Amino acid sequence: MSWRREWTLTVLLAVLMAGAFGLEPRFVSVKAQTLLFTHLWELAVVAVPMLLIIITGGIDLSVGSTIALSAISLGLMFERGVSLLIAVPGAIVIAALLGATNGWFVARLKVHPLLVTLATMAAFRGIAEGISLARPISGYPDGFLQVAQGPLPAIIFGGLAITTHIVLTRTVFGRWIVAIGTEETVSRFSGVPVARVKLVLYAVSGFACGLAAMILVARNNTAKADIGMGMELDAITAVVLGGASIQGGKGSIPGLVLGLILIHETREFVSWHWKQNELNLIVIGSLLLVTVLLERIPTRRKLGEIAQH
Amino acid sequence: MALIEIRGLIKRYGGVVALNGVDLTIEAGEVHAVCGENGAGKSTLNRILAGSVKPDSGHILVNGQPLNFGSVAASEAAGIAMVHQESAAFLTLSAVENHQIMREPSLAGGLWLDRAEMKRRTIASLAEFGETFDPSVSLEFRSLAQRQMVAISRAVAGDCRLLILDEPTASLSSRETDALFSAIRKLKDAGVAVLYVSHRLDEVFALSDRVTVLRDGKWVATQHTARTSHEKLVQLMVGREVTFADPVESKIAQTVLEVKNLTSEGQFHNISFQVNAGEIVALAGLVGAGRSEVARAIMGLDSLDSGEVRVEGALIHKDAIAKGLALVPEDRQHEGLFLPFSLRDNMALAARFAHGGWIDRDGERANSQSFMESLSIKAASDLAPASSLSGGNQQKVLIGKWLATHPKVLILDEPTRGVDVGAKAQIHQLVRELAAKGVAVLVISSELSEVIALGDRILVMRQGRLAGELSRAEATQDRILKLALHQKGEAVIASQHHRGMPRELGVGLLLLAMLVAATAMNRSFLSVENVRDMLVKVAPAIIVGCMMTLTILAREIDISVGALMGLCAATLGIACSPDRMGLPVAVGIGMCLGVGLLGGAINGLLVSRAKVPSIIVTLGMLTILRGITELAMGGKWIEHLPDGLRQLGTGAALGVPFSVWMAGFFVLIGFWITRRTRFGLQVMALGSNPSAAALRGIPTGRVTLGVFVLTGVAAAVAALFSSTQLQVIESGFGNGFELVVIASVIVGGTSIRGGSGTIGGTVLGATLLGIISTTLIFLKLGESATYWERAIQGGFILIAVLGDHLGRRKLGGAA
Repeated sequence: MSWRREWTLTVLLAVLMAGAFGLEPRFVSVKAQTLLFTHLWELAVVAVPMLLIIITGGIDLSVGSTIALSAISLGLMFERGVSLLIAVPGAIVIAALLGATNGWFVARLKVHPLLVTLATMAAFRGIAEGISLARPISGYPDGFLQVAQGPLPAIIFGGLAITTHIVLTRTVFGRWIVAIGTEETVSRFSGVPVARVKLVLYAVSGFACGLAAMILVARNNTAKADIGMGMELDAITAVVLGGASIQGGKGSIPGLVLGLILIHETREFVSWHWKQNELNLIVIGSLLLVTVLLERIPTRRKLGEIAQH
Repeated sequence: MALIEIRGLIKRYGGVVALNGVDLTIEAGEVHAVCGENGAGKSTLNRILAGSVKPDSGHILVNGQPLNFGSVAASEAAGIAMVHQESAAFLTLSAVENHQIMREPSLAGGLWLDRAEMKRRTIASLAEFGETFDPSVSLEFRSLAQRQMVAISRAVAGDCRLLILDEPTASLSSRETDALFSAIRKLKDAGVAVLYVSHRLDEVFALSDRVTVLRDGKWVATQHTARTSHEKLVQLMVGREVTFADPVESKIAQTVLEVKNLTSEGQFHNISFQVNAGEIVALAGLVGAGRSEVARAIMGLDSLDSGEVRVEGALIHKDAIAKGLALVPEDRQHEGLFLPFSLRDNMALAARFAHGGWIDRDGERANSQSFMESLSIKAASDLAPASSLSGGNQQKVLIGKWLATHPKVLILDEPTRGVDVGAKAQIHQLVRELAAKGVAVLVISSELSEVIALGDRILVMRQGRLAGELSRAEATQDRILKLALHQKGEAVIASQHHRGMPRELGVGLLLLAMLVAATAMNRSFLSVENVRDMLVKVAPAIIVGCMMTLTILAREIDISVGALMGLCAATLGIACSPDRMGLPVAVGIGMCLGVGLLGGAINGLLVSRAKVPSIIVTLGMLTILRGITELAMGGKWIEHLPDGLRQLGTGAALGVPFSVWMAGFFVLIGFWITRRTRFGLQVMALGSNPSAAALRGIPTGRVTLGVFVLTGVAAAVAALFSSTQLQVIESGFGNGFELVVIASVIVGGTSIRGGSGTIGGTVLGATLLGIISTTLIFLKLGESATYWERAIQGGFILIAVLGDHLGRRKLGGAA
């Protein structure tokens, strides 16, 4: 395993933080950082299963919409007087089922995941808009809202990331994930239950979207059909930045965590210093392209060696 | 003077020398055979001659003129044509297109293909080989032999002076082989030289005048075929005498593997046999006879129409490996090994060394190290990646991977393909030892000597059926061949594919049903105003969709079009609005188109030159473009668009809005490109089979760049007409539009895997998705229907996908 990408990201992060310290010393303070990190968790939670799916050579474009539909489900249940003790798990289960729907199309019907999740991305968001008539649903009890301020989102992400890291490096299931993305046919010939693994991963992705939806609703005190818009692109960017190959077979949790932190710090710093969120889009997009391009240069030499096989 | 003189050809791939100073002379009108083991350098030599590979040094003279290396066009101009192996066909293209690509008769330099002439030439060319099938059908609906005939007839059509044939008979029946041989003799009489590569020495002796032997990339000998012998050639190829251990008579014990009435339509029919413990059964037959398919079905990898498999009496159902079955597949790289994985991981994957899901690392290490020793695998360590090993050692790793599962039944599909003779003898020995230990062994091999050397019994398959069984005593090469070869008058199993209902028809009917229902509910649905509104609404999706179809046909995708439209609109507004720059309208339009062109070109260059996957490139571009747009607009809408500009969005000619005219224009352009231009054909070929496209000399980088540039320009044009419909340009203009466009293309039936799809489908798809909400309102489903628009669009894509799946299932499990 090569740690190249992790080093690149660490150096970039160090340069960024050093620069930030020079320009905006208060940005690097513990207090500011703690506050800013509350913006990261929903993306971080969604990015973990996205990493696994991308390692299998798949993709999930529907995460933002799944978050929206899960959040709206919570809102509508709450509005009709359902206890949050039931509505929250219910909304998370709904999200997991939405993910399983993606998985069923991808794994059982063998439809290209780009196509499936493109369709469900439109469909889930559309259903969320349709059942809520695109209005916001607010007014949650304080106990629920405080969840987002506390350490729970961070604990959820930490637990998810550590579990996933152990699964990827120590278990047969984790090896199957990498095997499927490396060469799906060989995996099938080797007795790997390809369809089952994929189905589970897309369902897990839906489940994580449910968790992210709860975090988002609690933080904003509102559920609206447009929440989570564009989340899929941020999550994919974090995964690819973290060294995963979009063709599958490669990716790690340490890389993803670094990718997430780099995106997060870049974004927050740009907003802090220039007070212009628009700049962020340009910076993050360029970060993605430059990181991918940088690694193309030395690998070119290896192409000849690969070509002969 | 010799027709072709090859001098000192050297080609290296990384550290491996594929050709090491080869000299060869080919005379006009001779059939020159080239023999050698796998890895001897035959393919590299062919590819250099055909122009798809550039040598490191050396030169080739054609009639005394030096040949320009590395260009298929230059080789073809010099009269050198090559028949590639079967994998180089464009399956989603028709026989005509496969036959004529890169040499299409056309007007204006490829801008108007003469399709009638293309078809006429193909039919005439195929007729010379006695083939009379309809060449306008996709090649995927043709048999292997027919595909081969298309490739061969393509190669000899035109001014061919040297024809290169690489294992041309591998998938041909005897009748077709006869036709090929007589065609070769005809060509020879006409003075054409033929370079004939085959491992079938019988053919070499039947056909060739001279034969050259290569070994390890070096020239070994060139001899007159009449003055050499079978044994002599083998010795030259191998470089030493090889002795294989004599077969040992084994005692037959109880039945382990029992296969009963196995049938899979279009693949194999009613296959029944048994393999006993300690027995080696060989399964012989031609390539394409259905042997590998039977092996896969036994393992439960493919679905069956009927039949059953038992191991020691227990029925196998999706648990083949657990019940003691193991298959060492034919294709090491794509079925057998994970090349980037270490030997240790490879040998652990099928056997699963684990305690309750946790990987047992000690068990894995012990396993791989014991096999490295017992199979004498040569590698730096068991942590070396499989890709770093030679073919023979890879094959041993693959066998080790399956022995680790302690199989009761071991199926070996072409176990010695591409391994050197030393490793081959070791593998044969190993197979016999395994049988002696009581494993039931089934060996699939195309090599008759291997079949005879290993098999206690020999089963022969022909055209998907068991043609006969021979005991070791009865087995001779002649008898096996007679059973394996296609008999005159016997029905050929063509691949059982049918073409389903074209997608355009399905989408069209759905659209029609919607229109009829809405009109029945409310007459004003088809009023002039409403139809005009609907057309204006779908126009941008059609404009971009037509060019996106090309991108997806080329097996790429562009998710940045929505963001690019946003930037184009912002450019237009900022340039022309008197609040901002206040430039003349014409300048603004020019800048808008320029931005589209530039955006497309950047996408195209990053994909084609830097080889970054298009989804990543356009994802990055989407983010960047959106950022630039928002920064430029400063979060405000652009107001006071000049009247000249508003005319674009609101004006009309002959009562039809400009945007609808433009959509019509793009549809025509789309049809023209896909149906009538050389570029369009190259787009289809690239998407259909990228590696074959490179072999044929298609300028893949330019084609990729082209489709992205066209898509970028289309985004600019769509922005011109749709952003000027209102008084203002909103800040979020274009966001999410990529989904509408991609959905239109996909619902219209274009395959996300490239190579098949039509402009007509995209137009129908865009129309269907675009007018859903209007229709729902007219169906009196209320104003809230607009909220459901997106849900229904997504639903339609899923329905389209489901329909495809159900359609494909009817065609059998082959797809």
